[in-house]
Amino acid sequence: MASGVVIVGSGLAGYGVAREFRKWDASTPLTILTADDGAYYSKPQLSAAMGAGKTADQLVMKDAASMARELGARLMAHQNIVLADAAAKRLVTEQGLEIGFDKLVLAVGARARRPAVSLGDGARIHSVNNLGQYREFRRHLEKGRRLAILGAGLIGCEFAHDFSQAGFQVTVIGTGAVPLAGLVPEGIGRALQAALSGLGVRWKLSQGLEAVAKSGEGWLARLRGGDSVEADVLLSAIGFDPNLELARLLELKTARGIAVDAELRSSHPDIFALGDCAEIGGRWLPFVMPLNHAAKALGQILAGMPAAVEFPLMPVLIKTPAYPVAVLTPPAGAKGEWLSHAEPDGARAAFRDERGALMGFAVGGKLYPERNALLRQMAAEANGSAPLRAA
Amino acid sequence: MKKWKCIVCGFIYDEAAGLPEEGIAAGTRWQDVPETWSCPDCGTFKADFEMVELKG
Repeated sequence: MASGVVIVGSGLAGYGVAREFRKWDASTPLTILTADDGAYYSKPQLSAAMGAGKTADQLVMKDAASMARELGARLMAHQNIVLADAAAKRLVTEQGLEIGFDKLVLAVGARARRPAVSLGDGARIHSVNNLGQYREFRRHLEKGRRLAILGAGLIGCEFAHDFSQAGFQVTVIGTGAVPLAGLVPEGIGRALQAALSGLGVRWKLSQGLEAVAKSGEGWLARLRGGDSVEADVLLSAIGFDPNLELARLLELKTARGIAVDAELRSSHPDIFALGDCAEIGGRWLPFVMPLNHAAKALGQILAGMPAAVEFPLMPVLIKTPAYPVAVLTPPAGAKGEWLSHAEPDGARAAFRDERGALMGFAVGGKLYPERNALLRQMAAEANGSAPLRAA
Repeated sequence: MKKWKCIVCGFIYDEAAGLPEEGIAAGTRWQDVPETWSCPDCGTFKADFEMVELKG
């Protein structure tokens, strides 16, 4: 029975921490268990790849065997864990594998949230949150060029951009009045909407999807406001939720995600978590940059070195090249106000507290490159220098 | 002059433009970008990830 370090998950988080661990420890046995085939790919690239017409195979940067070799790891693909005992430090898979661990890392990611709508006539709403789903979705895209996207958030807008660029007729259905509602000030959401409209994207906002039924060769999506949308393929991008099943089997503390501290340690001292499944110090940050920081710290911790993750200021980037947006959300409960500035092809909103200190910002379009200067300004202010009032 | 793409997030480093705000002058070739440099958008390290050479 193997021991050493066991990582569950072969996405950017699982492979990221494996790589960081091997920088410090080349000899401890390392096992990676994964539910898929273990091929290495970048999830954030799925949207852009779709627009570029890439196949799932083209997105694979390295196959499982190369990854295992490179990492000096034993890679066990297509494994579903059905029993997990934290006290006995033991995992059992449906496929009959039984494996022990000294230290366990959960990098099991998140799953797309399913829209609660009535689906008639065998209708199917796709989501694309991993390479397998990408492969499946591409197969269905051959049915036509009319695409309805459910959700006008970050992922919905990126998909809308990339698909309309690729020649699809895209309609976005959203519950908010503007795209990116709740994430960026309304003016920037509207500017992004206008830019995407310029690419041919149509919008059905302030209304949710109610039901889907067969209509000719395609589907008729009926909306709550009474409107309807005809589409050949339906894609949901209404959000995703951390995979918590394994953490529950292990009886770990969970909140929104698997609760871990700054050392990525769960409520069990030898079990760690990172990536989209983890909530680090109360923050759920399902993005690549926090993942990279967490992997770096955890690689050292697993190798027995003292480390803790320290996040810099990390803006969220919405990669819609026709109108890119960067946003750094002010801390929860911060008192202050948004000050907005708009130009024909760009916009900036700065959130300042009573003293005038910059607490958050959003920039879009031509002013997107200002994000770095704003980050530097915030970092300088946080380091104790007087708040700058410019901007 | 060439362009290099971060294979994790899609960020593009353009040798011709450099990244002056990070102290990387316009015209800095990829091999002269420090090994400790990381992708400004996602934090992926130069040394850990391959960058894809683009045409043009």
